Amino acid sequence: MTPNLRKYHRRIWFFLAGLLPILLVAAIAVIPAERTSPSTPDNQPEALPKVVKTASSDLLVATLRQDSATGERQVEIELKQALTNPSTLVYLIADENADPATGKLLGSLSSRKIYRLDAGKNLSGQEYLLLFDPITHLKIATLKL
Amino acid sequence: MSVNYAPILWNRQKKIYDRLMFGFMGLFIAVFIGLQLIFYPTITAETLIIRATGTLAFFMLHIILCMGPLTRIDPRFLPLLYNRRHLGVTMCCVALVHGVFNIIQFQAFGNADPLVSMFISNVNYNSIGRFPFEIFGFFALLILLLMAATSHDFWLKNLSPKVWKALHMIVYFAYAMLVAHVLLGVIQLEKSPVLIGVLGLGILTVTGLHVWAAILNKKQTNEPSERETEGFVRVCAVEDIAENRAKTVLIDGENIAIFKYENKLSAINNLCRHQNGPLGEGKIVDGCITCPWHGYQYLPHNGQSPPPFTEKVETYDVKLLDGWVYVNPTPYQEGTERPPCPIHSALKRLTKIEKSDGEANG
Amino acid sequence: MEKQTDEFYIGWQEAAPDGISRRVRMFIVAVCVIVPIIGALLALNQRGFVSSNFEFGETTELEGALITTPAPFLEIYRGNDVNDKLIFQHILLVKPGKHGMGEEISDLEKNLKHSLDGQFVKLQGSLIYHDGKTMMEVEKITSLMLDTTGIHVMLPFKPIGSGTFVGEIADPKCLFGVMKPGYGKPHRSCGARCIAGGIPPVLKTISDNGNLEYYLLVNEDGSPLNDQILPYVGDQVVVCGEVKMVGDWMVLYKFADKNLALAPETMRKELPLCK
Ligand code: HEM
Ligand code: FES
Repeated sequence: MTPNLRKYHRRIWFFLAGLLPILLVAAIAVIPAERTSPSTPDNQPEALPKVVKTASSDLLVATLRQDSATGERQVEIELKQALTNPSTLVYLIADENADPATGKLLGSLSSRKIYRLDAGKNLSGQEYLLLFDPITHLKIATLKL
Repeated sequence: MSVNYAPILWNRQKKIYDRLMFGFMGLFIAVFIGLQLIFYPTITAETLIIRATGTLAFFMLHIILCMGPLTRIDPRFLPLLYNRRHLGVTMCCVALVHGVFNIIQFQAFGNADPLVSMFISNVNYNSIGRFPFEIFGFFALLILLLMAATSHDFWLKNLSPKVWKALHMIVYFAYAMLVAHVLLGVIQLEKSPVLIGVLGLGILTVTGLHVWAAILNKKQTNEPSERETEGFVRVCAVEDIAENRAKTVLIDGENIAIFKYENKLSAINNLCRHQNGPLGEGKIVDGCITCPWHGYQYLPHNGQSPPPFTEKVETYDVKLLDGWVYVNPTPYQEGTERPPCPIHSALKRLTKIEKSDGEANG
Repeated sequence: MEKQTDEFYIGWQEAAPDGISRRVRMFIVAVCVIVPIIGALLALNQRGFVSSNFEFGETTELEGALITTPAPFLEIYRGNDVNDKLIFQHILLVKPGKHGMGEEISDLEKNLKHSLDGQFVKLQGSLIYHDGKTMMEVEKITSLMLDTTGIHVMLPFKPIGSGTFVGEIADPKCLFGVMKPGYGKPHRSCGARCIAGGIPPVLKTISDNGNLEYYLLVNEDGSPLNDQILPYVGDQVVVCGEVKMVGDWMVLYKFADKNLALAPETMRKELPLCK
């Protein structure tokens, strides 16, 4: 290399040896922190006072609750994972292999949080909880309550 | 050394070089993609391609940039330079895949031209953290493409080695831009200290080696200050030059290599006409000065490549006085024949002078 | 240089001298070790990718009522719950590429000279879904028909609270499946292109317990605010507004007199209050 090019090399690298570490530090300094949101409105009804049963799987924790005074039941579902299907309806069905059409529709699930769905009064106590996808006709999960 | 331009010249060393290069690239891709698919199976194919090619190209660039200073720190690394061009062009191709996939993925199919979109989608040019980092990647890719496009000896000849080398120095700016591209891009999302650490280590290695080599080089530059009569400058003692090797001096910007061989001394310009390689770090093989970079050859007494080759470098006058080597930094036209300075005759002359002195006395 | 032996490498010769090839072999072994280590470190230290889905190349046909404000939705009736409340699923509609559905709907309305809000439709397209949110990339509207089920939809949107929300502005199409990652700095300009193309923006928030919530972001009057929001795509912002449920989506109606602002760096609970 010509002596001049060598000289430029030297200057460029002395310059970069100063610049690049500054860039590194500056870039680390501006990495955004993930901020939590103060408001997350909850549109779910109040939990009924008495816990009757709890069942859980990898996907969810289901709690059957009851208001002893009125006999009203409520299914509380805490999603532990993000759902991976396009549509999720919650049914109570009489036996493990029952069709959702024969069951009782409680509601639908969306993002990962706690849902409280009214289950009415007349429960046998032998029901299964079924998560069903009406678009893919897939039984996502069945859980003995 | 070329009489005419072959598309690419192949030989055994180049084949070994290329095979190793593709082997390592395959290894990197296999490890990277394999682990991705095992540990992050939900990744999309596009992201997999983008990340694999981006990281591979950037990693290859680090390796490429380390080679130059390594050879200056220890010349035994010189074989690494021999086919570095293939490495550079291949790296550019990998980077091109990354760039094109990114432009399609992130900028195309919208309500603006993809290339325009890259400049107008994120207009936070006044911010560090929010800066449109793609722009850095884009200009770096342009530089790499320009270099790859002019990499053939045809361009080297037509642009002249000096311009070509200067052009290739902008790869350092491409490197700096890519550091910014990664730091202000994916690092802002991924945040992992390990990723930052790996990048920091890469920067440290590349800059460290370059700075080290530059300092070493400055120390080694032989720039004699004393000026002798008749334009000759003292360089070194004749024993300081090893047989078939040279000493390099810099006098008034004239870069001269003085070779010692077969009891003779010859001086030619230090710059190889191929890519300005340092001939003074070369060796005389089969009677020819051989360039350490790619093996171009020149005859010591006239600076000409042996036929059929046509490269020529400037020659200089050398003389010996009291065992000291002197050179006249005024160059003769490229390829001008200059009689080598015989070492034994100079010594003989010295004894003769002593003798005649004795005769006068007697 | 003097310390070196007299070995000399010439590339065009068959083999390199011993000392030199030993040194080069050292380099090759070093690269051999470094390559898998670097490859592994880079591959294993990513934050990972969500389980979102984009059924690219797969077509699904769905029917339901078209909702045009606050954003184009397909409303699908799923039955009544135990209290006889109607259960609906809302599918957010977008076009292929980085384009929203709004323009096509308003062009269609102009041609037909009537509103399509509540109109029964059949749509063909590819589904995009993640974390209980579903969208459709609509290829075509296969039929426009009268509501024959008798369930005329258009529930009043249910207000569930107002306040200050902090999160990242993202485009839902990429966020819910088309790209991974579909948020954050690398995705910023793509998100801006999507939102400029009419895809309604989403505010992605994290609650203190780590749950994510997604709010479709519109003006107080329900009109799109895509253009105002472009400079903030990919940024964390503070938005003041009221949230209403539109079926299973939360829609954040930004208060007209409160500007969107970048979230301050050192923010915890103390926020510029909205009221
Ligand atoms: C037109 C030119 C380019 C564009 C538009 C571009 C765009 C991008 C984008 C959007 C990302 C983030 C992708 C992600 O989320 O993973 C990225 C990452 C990256 N880019 Fe580039 N880039 C360009 C050129 C280059 C070049 C020339 C190199 C290096 C030789 C490079 C090296 C990288 C690396 C190492 C990463 C981080 C790994 C990754 O996330 O893929 N880029 N680039
Ligand atoms: S620079 Fe290439 S052979 Fe001399």
